Amino acid sequence: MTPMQVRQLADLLLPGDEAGLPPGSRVPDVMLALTESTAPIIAQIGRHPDFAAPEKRQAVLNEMERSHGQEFRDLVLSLIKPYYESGPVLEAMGWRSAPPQPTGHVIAPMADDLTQALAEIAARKRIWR
Amino acid sequence: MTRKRQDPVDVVIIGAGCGGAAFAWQLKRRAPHLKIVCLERGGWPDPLRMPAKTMRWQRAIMEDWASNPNLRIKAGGYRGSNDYHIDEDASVFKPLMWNGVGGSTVAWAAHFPRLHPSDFRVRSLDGVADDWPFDYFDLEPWYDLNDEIMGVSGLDGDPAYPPKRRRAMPPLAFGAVANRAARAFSDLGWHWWPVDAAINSVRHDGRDACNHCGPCLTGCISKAKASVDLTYWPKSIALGVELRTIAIARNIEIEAGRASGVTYADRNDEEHFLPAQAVVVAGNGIGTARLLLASGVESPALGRNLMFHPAAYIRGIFKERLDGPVGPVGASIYSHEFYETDRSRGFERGVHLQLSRENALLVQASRLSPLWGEAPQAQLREEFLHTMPILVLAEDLPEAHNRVSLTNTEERDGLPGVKLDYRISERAQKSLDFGLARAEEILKAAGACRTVRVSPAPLTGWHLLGTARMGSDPQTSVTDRYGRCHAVPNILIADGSLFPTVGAANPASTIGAVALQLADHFAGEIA
Ligand SMILES: Cc1cc2nc3c(=O)[nH]c(=O)nc-3n(C[C@H](O)[C@H](O)[C@H](O)COP(=O)(O)OP(=O)(O)OC[C@H]3O[C@@H](n4cnc5c(N)ncnc54)[C@H](O)[C@@H]3O)c2cc1C
Ligand code: SF4
Repeated sequence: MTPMQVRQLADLLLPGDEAGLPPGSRVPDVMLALTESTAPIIAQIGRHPDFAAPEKRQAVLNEMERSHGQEFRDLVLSLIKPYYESGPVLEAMGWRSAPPQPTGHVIAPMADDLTQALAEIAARKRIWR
Repeated sequence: MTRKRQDPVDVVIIGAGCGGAAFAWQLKRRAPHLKIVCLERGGWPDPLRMPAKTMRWQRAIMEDWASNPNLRIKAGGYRGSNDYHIDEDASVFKPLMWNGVGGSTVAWAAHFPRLHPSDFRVRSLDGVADDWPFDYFDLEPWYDLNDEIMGVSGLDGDPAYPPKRRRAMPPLAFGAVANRAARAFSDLGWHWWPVDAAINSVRHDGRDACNHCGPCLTGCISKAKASVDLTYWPKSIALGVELRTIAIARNIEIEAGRASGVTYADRNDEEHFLPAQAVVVAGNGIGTARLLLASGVESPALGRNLMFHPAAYIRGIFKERLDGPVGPVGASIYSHEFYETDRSRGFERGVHLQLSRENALLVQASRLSPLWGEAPQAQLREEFLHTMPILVLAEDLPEAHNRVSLTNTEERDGLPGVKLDYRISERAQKSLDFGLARAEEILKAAGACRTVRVSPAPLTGWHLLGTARMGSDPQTSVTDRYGRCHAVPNILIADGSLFPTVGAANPASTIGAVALQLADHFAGEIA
């Protein structure tokens, strides 16, 4: 596959959106995963005569997905992983890029109004046999 | 292969997980003179390998820290969890476990409910399956002791249980999700309560408080989550129990109807024979049956009656932003409104409803269909940070065709291969459907704009139970009420395999309590 085709493939699989989610080709680790991948399906997609035509590319991928189910799925998963791990993608989705530890997260304590609700439940007769 | 014969010991325990750890500690406490060795196939959990501090924390649960051993093996694995392949094709639920010191509590969610008193008496009360050979109140002191060692956060006064001793710590923080769900339960007039969790809500027993980081199933770096490698094992080792890691028990040698010791392979694959007066097996509902079958223990019920707790999820999608993938995943609030039998529902026994927390972004993305293109990204935009999942656990009843058996192949660990056959009964499916319908009502009451069901949820085989059940009849049970095998009385079992029935609530609290009780009795017997 040519570098141009690699970018086209990345963007078809992970197009991003107007609200700031980057297309796959803008995420360095996705491009690295694609260029370093030895999965034969990538070359097959590149060789497909219709892949050169922008309006037919989507159909090529649909066809490949049908004919090479597991291989195609593995390829997509191998790109989804670096994509959704990347800081800009996490942030575009409203999440933080730092991993869960060591800072952890702050979450709300039990709301005050629930104390009364709990008292009502505790006052119920037992529900065990 | 030549075996090196070792000096004899009094007791060999196989498996350093939930049951094995509790048994070892209690036995050594009660009978300090005994020489006790525990053989554990895996190594110690290594906090440096836990992914929560790294950018790959999301993918770890799909690869090397997957809860399913087959997925870990596929990802290359490591001997912290020294896994074996399980033929799971014929099982609706895929088995989940951790095979190292701490056993599956390394990977667990630490939701820590007890069974109900009725769960021990299903034959007497509901006319199904069998009663346990003892009841809730017999086990209560052991529940209390297990709670003390594990360290429990929670709240007194729950009407779903007989009064319990004061919990050591206050409940864990709720988050927006649990606050919203709790109001919905209350609006419907249904029971809910903060869970008992074996997670520190405040610093306790030398371990930090939970900082709500989220990915509990890939190990807890802060050690806020109790696992038996952190709770029981340091205490047992201090008392003098010897724990040998990367030590795979391959065979229990049986001569004239009695076990004479255990053949095991060490980290260099060298075989040793460790003679012992008694052998205690705690390899979990799959590992125990596998080893006993491989050792030629003859017992008609061995490997049969595999029970999981059939599980399904329903997710509500909300317009408002909720918490996202934070907070201890299985530990917020639960409901036992529908736990006890009500025959008007069309089935015996009941369901456990447990509020869960949102999956990591990558996990959600990898489960969408279609998987690529604009549609899944648009769906993620709508759902991520806007989801409230509820887990429905139903009660399995023992059925002989649901089983663990050996294959004709030899696995890399030198034991025969192991296979699961499991299908959901019509009764269990009815209870799942019932539970899902109730959970849907809650989500609607909480304001969900739509809901999505995953039923059954295949990657929920957390609870591996019943394959060496206790009972009095050697035709239908494998051990007596003290965990002694009918066929070979100096082989004991001390793990989840013992459960004659399973209730609908998570089992580890009961596994620990039963192991303590059995060890206490055994100490009197062997002394
Ligand atoms: C992802 C996940 C989440 C869970 N969440 C919860 C929860 O929230 N609440 C709850 O109550 N339960 C939960 N569970 C279940 C709970 O962890 C188990 O029920 C419990 O740990 C089982 O205890 P056990 O003693 O039967 O076996 P385990 O704890 O699995 O221990 C078995 C041990 O035996 C060892 N072993 C097996 N075969 C051999 C051999 N041949 N030689 C040497 N060693 C051997 C294994 O390596 C392992 O360490 C969860 C489990 C998982 C996997
Ligand atoms: S959420 Fe709490 S219990 Fe879970 S891994 Fe993080 S710190 Fe540990």
